[in-house]
Amino acid sequence: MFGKGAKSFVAQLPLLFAMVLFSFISLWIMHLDMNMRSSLM
Amino acid sequence: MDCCEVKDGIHMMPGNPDWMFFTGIGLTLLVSFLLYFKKNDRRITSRFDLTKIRFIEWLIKKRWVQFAFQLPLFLLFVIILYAGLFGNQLINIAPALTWTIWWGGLIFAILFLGKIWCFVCPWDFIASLVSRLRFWNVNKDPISLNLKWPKYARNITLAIGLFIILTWLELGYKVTSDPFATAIMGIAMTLLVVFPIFIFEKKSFCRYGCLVGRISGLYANVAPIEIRAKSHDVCLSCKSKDCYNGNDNGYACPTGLNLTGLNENTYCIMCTECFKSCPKDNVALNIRPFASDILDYRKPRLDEAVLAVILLSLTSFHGLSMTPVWEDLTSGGVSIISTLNTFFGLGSLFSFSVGMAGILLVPFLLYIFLCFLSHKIAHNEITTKEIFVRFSYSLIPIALFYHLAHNGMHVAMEGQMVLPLLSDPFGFGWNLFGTVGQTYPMLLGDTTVWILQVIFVVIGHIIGIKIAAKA
Ligand code: SF4
Repeated sequence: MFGKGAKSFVAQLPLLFAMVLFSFISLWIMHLDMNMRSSLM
Repeated sequence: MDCCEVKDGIHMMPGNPDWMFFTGIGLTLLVSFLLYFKKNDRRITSRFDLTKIRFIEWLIKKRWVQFAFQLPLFLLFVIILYAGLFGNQLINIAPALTWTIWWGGLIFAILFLGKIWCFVCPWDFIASLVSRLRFWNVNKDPISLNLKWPKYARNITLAIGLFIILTWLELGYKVTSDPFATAIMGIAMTLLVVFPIFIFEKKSFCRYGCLVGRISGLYANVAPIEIRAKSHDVCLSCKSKDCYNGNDNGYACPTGLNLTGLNENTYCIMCTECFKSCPKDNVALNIRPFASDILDYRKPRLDEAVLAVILLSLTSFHGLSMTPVWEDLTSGGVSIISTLNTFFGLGSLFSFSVGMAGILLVPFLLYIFLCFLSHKIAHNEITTKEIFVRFSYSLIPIALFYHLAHNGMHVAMEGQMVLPLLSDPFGFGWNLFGTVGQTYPMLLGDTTVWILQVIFVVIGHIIGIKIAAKA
């Protein structure tokens, strides 16, 4: 999509950043304490 | 487990330990740089057609088979409705079966079996029965006005809207712990599926409006199963297009697909009608490598891209809304909800709605901004919109595997609590299987759950990176 070369490499960095950020957020949420139900009744 | 009962049946489960969190981050960074810039087009494309097994081929072509699978699910649905509407509202199986077992387990079913839910869907069972007036045989003249779905609505905006409403009801209105509200939602969903079948052609609501179908449709592109033409040449030479038009043996594809151009799982509801209608026996039920469609998505669409970003936001929101950062249920400390409550002073539901809107919007705007940045740097004719659409598919596995990590935790840690309820589903004081009053261990311990969660997130990230590298 972006072709080849240094410019295409740099152009893809924001998207790579987006993916890393979203995965970090997933890991961060799982790192937090969670309110769980002790009973489903 | 290092947790303690605090109040109102809520206990605090500790989050992943630091070392696991940082290992996850390290792995994520490592695979990002290893995979993203290493363009590798070598892929396993092999398939195994399950219909080569005579018994499966026989089964798939029998019209009564779907009925036989849908009937038990329909009966279970009736039990849930009865429990929710007429059962004891404190001891009741409806919320647990619906939200912990079905909604929790659904994502796992999609990962391995694709759109299998649509095949057994009780709402579809009811809608088909009342319009076709047949248990399984083909009725070429079902009760329906057969109107075309409005042109302006031939996208998945309705499904996206319903998904946002469902999340609001689920987390904001706390429907997940309310048997009566759970039953009402089940009835509402039934009406949403049944009414359109009398008005619009085929199963237009399944194609455009069903939130379960559209979410599972995007996720199913990762699944290792597909329904496809065995030979495209045979399809191209076919004049009658029975898969699309239907015949005496099978209905027209309910979502309007034509096997000739079918390359993705997104809109196939695995109804198996095309196996029955194809006069040339040219339909395969393939086992394939995971993520086959999504690594090479042929027809990216803006509405699907929007759903992919919203899925990512709302699945993360499910997790966040259970943490003290969102609302501190145990010690009443500072949280997003308490801050919004203080700021607006309009009550918790209003604060929840504002917070949810923010969590929907922020990742969306951030993603648009990053696409815009890419567009500016690239300085070529590719627009921000094209980047937005193309790259959004790489977010689907990140959302799916986070969803698996989150739902897996619910099933593993809360699933066993359903067992006592099986003996007394309506709270009438029964003890059918002798499980009332018993306590059962969690399906998995917390350390196992934590490790699996990190593995899931890293797998989702790896698949996402591979898709982005190919985009
Ligand atoms: S008819 Fe075939 S292609 Fe169409 S939804 Fe059913 S299984 Fe999928």
